[in-house]
Amino acid sequence: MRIRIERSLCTAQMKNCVLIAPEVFDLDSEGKAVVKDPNGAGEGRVLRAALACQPRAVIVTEDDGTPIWPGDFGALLRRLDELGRD
Amino acid sequence: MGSPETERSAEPRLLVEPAGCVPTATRGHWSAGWRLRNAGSRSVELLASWLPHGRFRADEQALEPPLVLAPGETVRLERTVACSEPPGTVVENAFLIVRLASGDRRWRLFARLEIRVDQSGAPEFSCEDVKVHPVGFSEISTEPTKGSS
Repeated sequence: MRIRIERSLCTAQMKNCVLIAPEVFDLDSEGKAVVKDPNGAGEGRVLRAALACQPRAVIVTEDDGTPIWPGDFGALLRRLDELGRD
Repeated sequence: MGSPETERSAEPRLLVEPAGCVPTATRGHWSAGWRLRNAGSRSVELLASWLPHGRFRADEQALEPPLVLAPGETVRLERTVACSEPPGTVVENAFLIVRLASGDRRWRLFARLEIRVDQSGAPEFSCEDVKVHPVGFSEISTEPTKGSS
């Protein structure tokens, strides 16, 4: 799984990615999100952090580039279910 | 329908705290924030929010996509609210209402707010109480139903 920030979409306002997965995301000097450690948290938490970014600035793909999020919300929920959301 | 005890154990538990209120570019409109922490044992989806009070108001807005909050996780919710009250005004019983899904049930969270408008006209708010109710039930009664054996 790969994670990147679409910097032009990051509003530096909500900071939900850092709230949910602080081991993975950090803020730069402009308050915008950066990926600090892509392996810092489990897949479920990374995906929930990406979902929580309302401007959809957190982009998550498979290793081969296939989009995970933004993408099919139903498929993402099923994936979160399989990962164990509770 | 489950028993009252089952209902209570399934009930989402969220902590709500204010996370600032800053002016927007539109006079009388403010960007108000809350931090919501899932203090329960099940994941919760945040589906929509609104603030119905006429003096601290925001229409219902769906979260698209919904936010998925696992136990222990915190998220920030932000809404643009309309508030044009004069300095010194205190607004009681305003509510932030959040539509939730948890398990296979729908719920509504009611966060009771107290708003105090400061001398510059900016609203400051505190969260006084939080309750969660299943959608379609105004109250869970522990009293025996009339006519039941």
